[in-house]
Amino acid sequence: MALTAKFVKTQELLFELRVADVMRRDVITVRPDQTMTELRRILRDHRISGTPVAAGDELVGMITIADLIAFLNSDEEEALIGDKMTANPDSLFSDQLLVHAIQQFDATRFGRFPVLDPRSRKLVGILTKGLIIEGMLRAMEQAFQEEEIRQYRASHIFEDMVAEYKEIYLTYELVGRDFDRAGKASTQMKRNLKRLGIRPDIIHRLAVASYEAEMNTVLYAESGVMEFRIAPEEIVMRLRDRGPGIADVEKAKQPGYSGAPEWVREMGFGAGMGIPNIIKCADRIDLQSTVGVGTTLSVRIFTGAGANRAGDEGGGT
Amino acid sequence: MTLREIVEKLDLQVHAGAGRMEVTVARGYMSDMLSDVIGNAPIGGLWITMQKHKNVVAVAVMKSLAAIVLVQGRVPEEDTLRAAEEEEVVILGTTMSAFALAARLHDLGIAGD
Amino acid sequence: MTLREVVEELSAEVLHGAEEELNGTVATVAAGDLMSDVLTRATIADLLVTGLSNMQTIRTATVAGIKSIVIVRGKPVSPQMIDLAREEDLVLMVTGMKLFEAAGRLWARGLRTGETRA
Ligand SMILES: Nc1ncnc2c1ncn2[C@@H]1O[C@H](COP(=O)(O)OP(=O)(O)OP(=O)(O)O)[C@@H](O)[C@H]1O
Ligand SMILES: [Mg+2]
Repeated sequence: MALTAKFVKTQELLFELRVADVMRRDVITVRPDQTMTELRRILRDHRISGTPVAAGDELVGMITIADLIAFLNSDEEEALIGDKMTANPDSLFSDQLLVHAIQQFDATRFGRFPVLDPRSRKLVGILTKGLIIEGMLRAMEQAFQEEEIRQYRASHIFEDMVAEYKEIYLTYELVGRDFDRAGKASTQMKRNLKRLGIRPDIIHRLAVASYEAEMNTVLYAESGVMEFRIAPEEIVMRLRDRGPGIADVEKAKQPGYSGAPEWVREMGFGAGMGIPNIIKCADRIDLQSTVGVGTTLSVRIFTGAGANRAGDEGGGT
Repeated sequence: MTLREIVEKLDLQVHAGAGRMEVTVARGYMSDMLSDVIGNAPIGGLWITMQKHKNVVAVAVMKSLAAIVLVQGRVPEEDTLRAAEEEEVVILGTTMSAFALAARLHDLGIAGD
Repeated sequence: MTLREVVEELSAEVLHGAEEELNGTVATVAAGDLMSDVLTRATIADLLVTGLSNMQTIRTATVAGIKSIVIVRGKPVSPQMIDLAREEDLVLMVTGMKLFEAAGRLWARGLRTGETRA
């Protein structure tokens, strides 16, 4: 199996993990009435670069090594943590999906977030990028063989994944005539996009386009690879298949045109509406085909603030 | 009820077989699968479908169907029309959905099961 | 009408769907055997009524966002389909009625098709 296919599994795993699954629970905290000198000792002893400030189990701030350095460079003799900390810090909830947490890391560039219980709002843990990577490795340990994990470690894929989170890639391999699985890639992709919190009307358009394309490959071609690139401004789907290809692409784009044999119609397809549906759902499409070699379809949907609302005419190639 | 009455009441288009409108219709069938129509459609019935390719004509002949009605504005392919004229099969059309057309016919007293 | 009323009207058998889910109401229908046609609708239908009984029936409903399915003509439904309906949290039922009859009855109870995308 290609590395990309395994990578997909990893990403699906990532979609299911919650903050509580990977956070550190035994949080080292400091009190606002402790001094910066004490902070220096605590950070050094525990080899940490920042820590939550708590009054009881109530989170009141965050203090980091950067705050300590600023203090040491000033000519103050002593100060209280409560005066140097960042008050009302951003935090995460323990039941939040890890993917959302990662988005928050990216948006703020903070290295760590305190984690609160969603009901009591008490401090229950801390999350760092390192913990995310560790937690994912642990979760994978249950899903994969040792050997494969070593491969992952070697490829530094986790660092990339966290750093490059803004661009997610999903890859699915399709097999011609495999009707038990036909459509599964698209429904899985749809589920993942929901978890990522993408706008429902955009998910709907992408799912329809992807499903029609997937079905065409399974019905008419030998095999294919479907890739999704999910970026902040757009989602791009590309499906490359090996198969008979389409002799007249312009004709295939016409509503109602179908070259489907009878058995395809008996399976609920062959209305000649698949490609037209894809065109309607997409903001841009590119359909290229070589007879006897295969077909490549790219579908692009804009997801930025100005993106089409459902029902707007997508269209255009 | 005759085909003519149905065509008038529901404002259907006539794609083929304008000369065979006096046939009486009692039952209807809605399906897009030829095997299903061959197996289960009532002899002499009215067949509602999205399918517009030539094979529908063969099925209509086989089941002596009174007419095929293409829904959602679908028009018969050229060789479907040619075959329909040759085999004397009536093909009607509507922009309605199959669901709405079946329901209207049901209202007019055309039986399903 | 509620899904329970659909079950009664069509003398259907529920293959997957909890009691409380049958209290849910439906107003719009997509009916037919061709799945791409179902996917053309601009509005998401509440109910799919079809003579197609395979994995694509379930997956099409999932992709289209349709939450309940009636399979007509008493077509056999495979255990894998029921499993998938469970996984996707869909109500799945089967009736011995033909599509034409089912359409007539659901229409009489006020159900309509959503529009087709322009
Ligand atoms: N990946 C492909 N490889 C080879 N031929 C294809 C491929 N995709 C589409 N085609 C050809 O183009 C035709 C039109 O495709 P389209 O998806 O629009 O309609 P369909 O598959 O026939 O019916 P529907 O999608 O409505 O079920 C198909 O009938 C088939 O002949
Ligand atoms: Mg298709």
